[in-house]
Amino acid sequence: MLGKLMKYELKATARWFLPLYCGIIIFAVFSKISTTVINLEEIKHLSSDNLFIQMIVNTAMLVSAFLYAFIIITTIVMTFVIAIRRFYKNLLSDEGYLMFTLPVSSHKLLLSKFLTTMIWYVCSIVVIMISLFILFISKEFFGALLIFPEAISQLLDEFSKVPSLMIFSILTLIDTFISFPFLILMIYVSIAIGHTRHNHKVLYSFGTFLGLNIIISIISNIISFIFFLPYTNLFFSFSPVSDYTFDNTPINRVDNLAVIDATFNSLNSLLIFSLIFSVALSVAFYFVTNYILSKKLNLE
Amino acid sequence: MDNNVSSNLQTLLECKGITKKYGPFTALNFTNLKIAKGRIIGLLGPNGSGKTTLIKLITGLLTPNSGEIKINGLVVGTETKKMVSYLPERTYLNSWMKVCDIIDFFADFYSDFSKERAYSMLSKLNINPKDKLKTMSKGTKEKVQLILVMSRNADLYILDEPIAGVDPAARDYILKTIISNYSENATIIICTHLISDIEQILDDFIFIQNGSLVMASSVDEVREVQGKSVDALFREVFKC
Repeated sequence: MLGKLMKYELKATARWFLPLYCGIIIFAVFSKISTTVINLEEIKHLSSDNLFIQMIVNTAMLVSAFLYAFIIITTIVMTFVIAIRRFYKNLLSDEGYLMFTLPVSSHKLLLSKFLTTMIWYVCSIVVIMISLFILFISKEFFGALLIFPEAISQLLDEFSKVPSLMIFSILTLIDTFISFPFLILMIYVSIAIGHTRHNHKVLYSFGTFLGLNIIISIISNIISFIFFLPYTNLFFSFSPVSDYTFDNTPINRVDNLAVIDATFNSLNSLLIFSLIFSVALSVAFYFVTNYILSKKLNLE
Repeated sequence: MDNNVSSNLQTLLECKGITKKYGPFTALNFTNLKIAKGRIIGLLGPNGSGKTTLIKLITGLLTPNSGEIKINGLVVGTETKKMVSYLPERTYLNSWMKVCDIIDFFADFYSDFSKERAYSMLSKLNINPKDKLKTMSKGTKEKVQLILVMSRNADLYILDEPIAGVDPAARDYILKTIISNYSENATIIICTHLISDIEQILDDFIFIQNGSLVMASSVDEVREVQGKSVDALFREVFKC
């Protein structure tokens, strides 16, 4: 049943995403062709003599760069907007009368929405990457690709000197990827809580979202503060300008790499904590949303 | 007191002391009610009497604060949703789909759905399955919804205001459709204000007011014993 729900969810959302993705790719191909043409020797020669043509070319480049940025931002915003719209419209407005009388559990309804959003999230990233690839494809680019494995091994080599830095990079990457599902679940739970009210549902949803944001940022700030307290000395010792701390005691400058390693080690523990915090909260958001959908449903 | 509609028949639906509150307001406070298989029942009451709340509890859209509702011996949940075919008072169809897409949707989720029956009813009402719902009038959408609901072989059909939005000619067709499209063992609960329009097809009726059961009886009994129509009785009981 989850598969069937997702099939219809993908169908319902594809009519937004597929045209958008086509637009991105067509735009990337179009820009690539036009920049290639502009960079042809003959054209360059032509435009270098003529200020007017030069101006037009430059304006066109600028406009297309802006357009590209706009399309990318639209894609990211759309991924959010459609996730919110589908949750709200398909489950909590009139369409909810159909969805919640289907012989499926609220878990499956919620999961189908969430997983479909994640699929589009990954697709959006992939499509943006493909468009960047198209835009930057060139002889030099392929040359860079050839030395890519070597660069990677060099990077790993560097990382091996400061293992904590590598872990830090990986953790930061995971943190970045997890922030999207976290945010989506936070939006779901806010809308669900807002909908238990009898009036001003949208207002209460917004309020809940803001409230949750404030509470979470206060908690995480307090935790970071407590966490960093014992390390303050370490950061002072990391100062590149002075060899002395505030109270003029000379800093015992140990091997710089070791200091960096220690710093990132402490940052890593904080990141791990923040990851666990995010995952735990996401799970809590999911279950609260499901509880509301199954027990406190309040369709108009 | 047990308010059993035709208690000598097999029970399909059973409500046991259910209450439903919205905040401090009690929307429904129900004593026991049993509904038998194979009946057409009118659920009647003035505005805000709790009809829709009762229906939402039976369909699982709401959870009661206390008490329980059983359909075929099962507490309302995913399993009972397979047995209940529900027509809400509002249009729940999304506008971007075509009629045939929604038929596929229903066939996918309800194993008791008959595509054949749906298409034959569509053609009788001159509705093109390739039409998008966006382009349809409110009345046509309501007809499509009724077709979807009546194309299932459910044990219990719940129709909330099935005829309110359509013209009298279509009303007759819809009532005919309702009667001709359900099996002998199935029960239909119809909730409406237009009592005189549906009275001819009703077996039993339930009066509710302020979330409580006022009266539950068979139509014949009212006609024979009291010599009144349900419509007249309704006007008498709920006199303002």
